[in-house]
Amino acid sequence: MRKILRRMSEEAATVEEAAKRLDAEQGITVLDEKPSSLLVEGEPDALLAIAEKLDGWSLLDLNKIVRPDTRARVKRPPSDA
Amino acid sequence: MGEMKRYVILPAFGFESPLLAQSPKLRAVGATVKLAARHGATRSSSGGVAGTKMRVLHSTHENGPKLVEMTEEGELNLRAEVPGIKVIPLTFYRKMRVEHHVEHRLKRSAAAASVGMTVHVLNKKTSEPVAGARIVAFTNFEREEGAEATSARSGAAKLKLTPGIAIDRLYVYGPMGYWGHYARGFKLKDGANFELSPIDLEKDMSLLGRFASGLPVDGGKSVKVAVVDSGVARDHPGLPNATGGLNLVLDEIRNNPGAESEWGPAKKDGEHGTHVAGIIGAGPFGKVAVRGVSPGVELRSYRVFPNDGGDATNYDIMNAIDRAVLDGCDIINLSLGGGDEDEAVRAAVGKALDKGVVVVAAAGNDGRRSVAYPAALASCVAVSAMGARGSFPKESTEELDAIKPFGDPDQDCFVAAFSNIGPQIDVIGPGVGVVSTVPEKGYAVMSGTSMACPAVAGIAAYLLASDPAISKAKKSDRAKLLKDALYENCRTKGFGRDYEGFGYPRGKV
Repeated sequence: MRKILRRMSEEAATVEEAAKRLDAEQGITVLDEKPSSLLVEGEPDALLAIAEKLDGWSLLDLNKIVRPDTRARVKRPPSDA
Repeated sequence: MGEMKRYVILPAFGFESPLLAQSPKLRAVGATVKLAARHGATRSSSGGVAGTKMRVLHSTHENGPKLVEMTEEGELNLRAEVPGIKVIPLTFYRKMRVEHHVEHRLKRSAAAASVGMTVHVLNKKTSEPVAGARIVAFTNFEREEGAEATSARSGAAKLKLTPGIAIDRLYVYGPMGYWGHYARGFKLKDGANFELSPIDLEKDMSLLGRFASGLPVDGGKSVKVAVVDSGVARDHPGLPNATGGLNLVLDEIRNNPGAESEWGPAKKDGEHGTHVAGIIGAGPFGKVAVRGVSPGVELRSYRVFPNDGGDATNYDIMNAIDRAVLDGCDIINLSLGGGDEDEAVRAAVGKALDKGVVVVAAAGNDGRRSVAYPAALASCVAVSAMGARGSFPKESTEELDAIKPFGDPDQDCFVAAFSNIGPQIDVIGPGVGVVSTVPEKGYAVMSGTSMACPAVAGIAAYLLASDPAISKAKKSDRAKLLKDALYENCRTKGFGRDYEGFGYPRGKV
């Protein structure tokens, strides 16, 4: 499962420090590093456990946002054809 | 005076805050207090400013949430008088019910499967064929049944429908350079022609053109605006101010760091971002009069929609917002959203606000449903969409967006049928039949709260550049001062609070 780890506090461990700790964890992979966040992959329980140990960091869901479009769309052919 | 309604008052973030205890008007439980009229408040028929009173019915404790009673006008005045609060209408929940759905299986005969007819799309002025027009023909609009096709270079399009079939609604969406066309309640014959009016670039009579007229062509100078979207065209002659940006799509850059520089339009369905950027800050040139709100801005593109036409991730959007702040952007435009509240985007928007950056977000296009996230966040400026008859050709598709409420007194104005609404709406912007830049150095018409949002972002940029007191303020105050200036710039159109918030920006100060 992929999740986002976000640094929520200026006092929290830096991204580099957090990434090092995660690298040392079995079953967790750091997919990407950004100045305030990490994209991680692993079993839900393992991710939750490590997130609880990282003070000032939050574990967040990875979601999708669709492209906006107001144009009408047909969804199915005529039912009386 | 308006009907008295009940609201829950919370701090902008969290559940408790000393701010709620510090405000004398929120402390006075049981008392009726008078709220100061905000600048631009509605006037009564006698010419006086609409008086608004508020009664605090209950308080959990001095720092905690309050239950108050006031009118919709009062809510706006309270938000102007006590910034930093969240005002939520009192909501009632009922028990969940199990609903049973019946599925209809559609039967199509073999003969029906091979039926089709050809229609033609032509330029209304020259009768030349128009390629790339999308025809959407509904035999039953409510059940979303019908057929679609796109016109070829010959202008011809083949629809999988029986000739002579009754059409409930027909939309023809113009390609770049054309308005659309609509028709209702007729029988569609094989060989039918549909004519599209070309967009007149020399006289921009669209709603955006009206919105921006009177604003200086160098408005927004020295202001950086981030467009978090599908990318912005680098080579459009109307967008010399699109100076840079970043591709944040992780799936593209992860194994190819060089792809970070690909902040131009996504290869598939990439025109949205360029259109949005043009609304904020396209400049007129030569005979082209079409322009954005603040052509003096610097536009930064943060692409979050991938090249394959797929969706964006909240991770990429969150990182785009963070990066825009690091790059020194003053305003961030989010013409995107949907779904449930997203903690990742919420955190990034909150951090942007702390750094003095104003985030403007589109309310969403779900047809009068509640405001989508992230616009629904108190930290965002949430923008709904307005249209105006007379700003698009009568037979164009925009006419179908014109439903009530209409303006008062200006009955030509309307809240777009697709626009989400609700108490989170802060401002309404021009969002129906908006002409702006698209890739391939073109111009096209689009409608949506996606269009209204950057128009408001453009006004915010203009106001920021016009008032040194705001740009010189310390970071923690800057966003608040700019939002205050934006809301003060607005005037209501008579739609009602949940449709328009503080109203429609009037532009020039």
